[in-house]
Amino acid sequence: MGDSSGFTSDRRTAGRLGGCGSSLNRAQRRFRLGAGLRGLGCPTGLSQRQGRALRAPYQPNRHHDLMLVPLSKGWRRSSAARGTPGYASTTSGWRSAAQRWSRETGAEPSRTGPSACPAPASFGQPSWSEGLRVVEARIAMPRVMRDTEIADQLGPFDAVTPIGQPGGSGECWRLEKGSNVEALKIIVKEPEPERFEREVTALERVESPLVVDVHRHGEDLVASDGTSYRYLVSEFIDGGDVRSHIDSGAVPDDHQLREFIRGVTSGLEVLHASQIVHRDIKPENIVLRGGDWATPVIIDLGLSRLLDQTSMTIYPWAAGTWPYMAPEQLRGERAINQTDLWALGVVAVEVANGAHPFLQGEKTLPADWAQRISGGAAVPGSRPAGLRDFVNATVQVAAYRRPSAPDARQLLDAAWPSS
Amino acid sequence: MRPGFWLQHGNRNADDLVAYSDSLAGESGGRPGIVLAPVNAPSRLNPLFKLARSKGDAFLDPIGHCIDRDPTKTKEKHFPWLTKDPRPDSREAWEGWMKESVDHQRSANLRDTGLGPSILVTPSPMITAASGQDELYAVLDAAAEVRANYDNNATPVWLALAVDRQHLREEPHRTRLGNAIVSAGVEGLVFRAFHTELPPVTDRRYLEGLREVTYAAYAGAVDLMLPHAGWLGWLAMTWGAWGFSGGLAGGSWGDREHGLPMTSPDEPSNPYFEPQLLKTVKWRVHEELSTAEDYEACTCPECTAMGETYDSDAAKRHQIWWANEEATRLVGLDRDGRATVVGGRLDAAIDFRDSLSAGLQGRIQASFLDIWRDLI
Repeated sequence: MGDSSGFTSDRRTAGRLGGCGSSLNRAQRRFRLGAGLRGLGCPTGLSQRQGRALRAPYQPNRHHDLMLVPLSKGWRRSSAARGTPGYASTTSGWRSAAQRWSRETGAEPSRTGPSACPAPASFGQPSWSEGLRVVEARIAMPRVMRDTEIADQLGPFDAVTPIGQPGGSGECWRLEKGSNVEALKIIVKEPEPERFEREVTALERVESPLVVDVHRHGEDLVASDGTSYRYLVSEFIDGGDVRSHIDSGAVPDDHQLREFIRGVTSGLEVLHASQIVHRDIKPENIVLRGGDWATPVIIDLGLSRLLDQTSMTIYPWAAGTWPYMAPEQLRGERAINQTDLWALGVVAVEVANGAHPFLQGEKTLPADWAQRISGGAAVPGSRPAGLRDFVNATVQVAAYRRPSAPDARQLLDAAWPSS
Repeated sequence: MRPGFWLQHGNRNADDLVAYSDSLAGESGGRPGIVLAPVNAPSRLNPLFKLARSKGDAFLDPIGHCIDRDPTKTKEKHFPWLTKDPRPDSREAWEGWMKESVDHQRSANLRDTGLGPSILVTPSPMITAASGQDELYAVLDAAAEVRANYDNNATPVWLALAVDRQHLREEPHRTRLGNAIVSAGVEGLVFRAFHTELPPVTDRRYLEGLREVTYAAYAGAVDLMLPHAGWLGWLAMTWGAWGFSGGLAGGSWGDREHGLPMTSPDEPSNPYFEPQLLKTVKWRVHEELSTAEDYEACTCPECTAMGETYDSDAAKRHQIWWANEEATRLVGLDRDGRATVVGGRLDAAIDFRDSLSAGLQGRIQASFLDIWRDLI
């Protein structure tokens, strides 16, 4: 993304896009793009404001606000034992909202009983209304490690620099040695015991510029108080996450937006081909390599689900970031590949609009969330019709009505060809 | 494998199955495959399977839902996994249960030295909406494990799912089921959703649910086979179903929830499938219909041989002949093409029904045609 304080015009004409409707592929036919393709003929031509270029480095897990996590007695005890400040729970708000959601959608409000769900001890007794809580984690917390401790155990390095504020499950550091720069993520909270292994296993399977590359990992990073932490060392992606770009007012032009969506879709295609469902696609978990919208990188597979491994998760269970969670996740059902496509559709609209399509500033799940999301996500008329087609296909309440990642990419290519 | 219509094995008329399938091979509909089931003792089932498989496609439907029904002596003696007590209640237990069934399908006892089944099928218990999502996921996970064990086998392993009607009629069960199907990672699905009606089904919410589930399978490139579905399976082919079955036994034309009080017989007395109305009527009503102005007499080989004297076996074969012909017309067409064919067929049936006298319309009870047409 170039440094620009002005405006760009991206005018598409009917002539340039003409004929795309005559070569409908399977994905298009399936999602009935007739109307959308006709709409492509309309020139859009409106300017998109571009924000200043961001060069903030990738700061894994910097934003973990409004994250839903399984209620874990073990975790709560663990947090308290460490005396970690900074977590503000809004459990009651979530519970009531979840119960309302349950009533509105007909989702199961509770377990049928202990025998129906032999929950592991670390999960307590999960239930739809009690198994989740909203955690806000933007409040600064002290770091668990010092730079010298990291350098001594993982180094030597020329520089060990903290990145952002610690929050959520980890804290992040920048490791420099000569021209080699890496990112270190120290796992300080583990709401799920298997989460770290899952992330490592998932990332080790994938080799793609569209997904963050993990270089090494370990379990024995020891703090001064004797506590051992698990860690991941990954490539350092200099360019800032999508959240920071949105927050700064940066809005991609149509071409950049298309390339961004296509890049994330292709990244999901890579993950899904490796039998991985990400389950937490959101602006914070997509980094723009070099600050370029056209080269997004998916990060943080800590909530991923490995489809080819026997499910470890007891349902109902929900984890993720609720404004981006698909209906099936919010109902505590199993996430599937199409779950990620929902989140991508929501992110696409947020990037296009500069605002989340359903949120109205709430910090907790609003009572009418089911109604809001069932109406579909509005796409600004100034954007190409192909974006609307993509969003209409992906932001479908029934996951089976959403396209797979390959179908979504084909759909995008046909409905919104590259200029 | 040839999709479309499959001939369903039932306890009655079992010995006629292969011969009748052979006789259809010369018709324009072609030879249907045969779906066998563990409903006869091995001394009868095994030779039947071997013979059927030697002539064409055949597989053994494991009818796992029978675990939730009163056991029969045959099942207790020969197919003990269908009478499992206690019922499996975990993924591991279901996996063992499924393995027993799949091992039986692969066993030398079944096929002797002949070919194995065209497909293997992991069985499914009756999954009720009341049991929540746990059992659905346990069955899916267990089936995935079993499939993984047979990965190197050249025979595809399909998934069976048997659900109650609430799964089709009610949210969020319907969506959860659709999501499960689209993400099951299987080549094919043998699907049963029991209902409470004698065929033809008119429960709109059930039908809408079946349409959604069929759509989910289609979207997930899963071949959806509806055993025992009869003409409902033909309707589902419009929505993208791969095939369906019906047989010589009356009960093989519409799976009905087990244990419901019977307020009317399983089928009309002297049932006759009326091609112009796409439903079975009493022979006596057929005789009345045949005097109607727009009536077209059936010219299938069975009716030609039967003439005007009712013959129960010929009437059964006549219905099968039509199902095979109609299903074959749909095979190879995309969904739009199928909708055109089936929609036209239903339109013609509605026109014919409406041309009949009010009294006759009351006797044939063909209001399902409008409901089915609306759902195309």
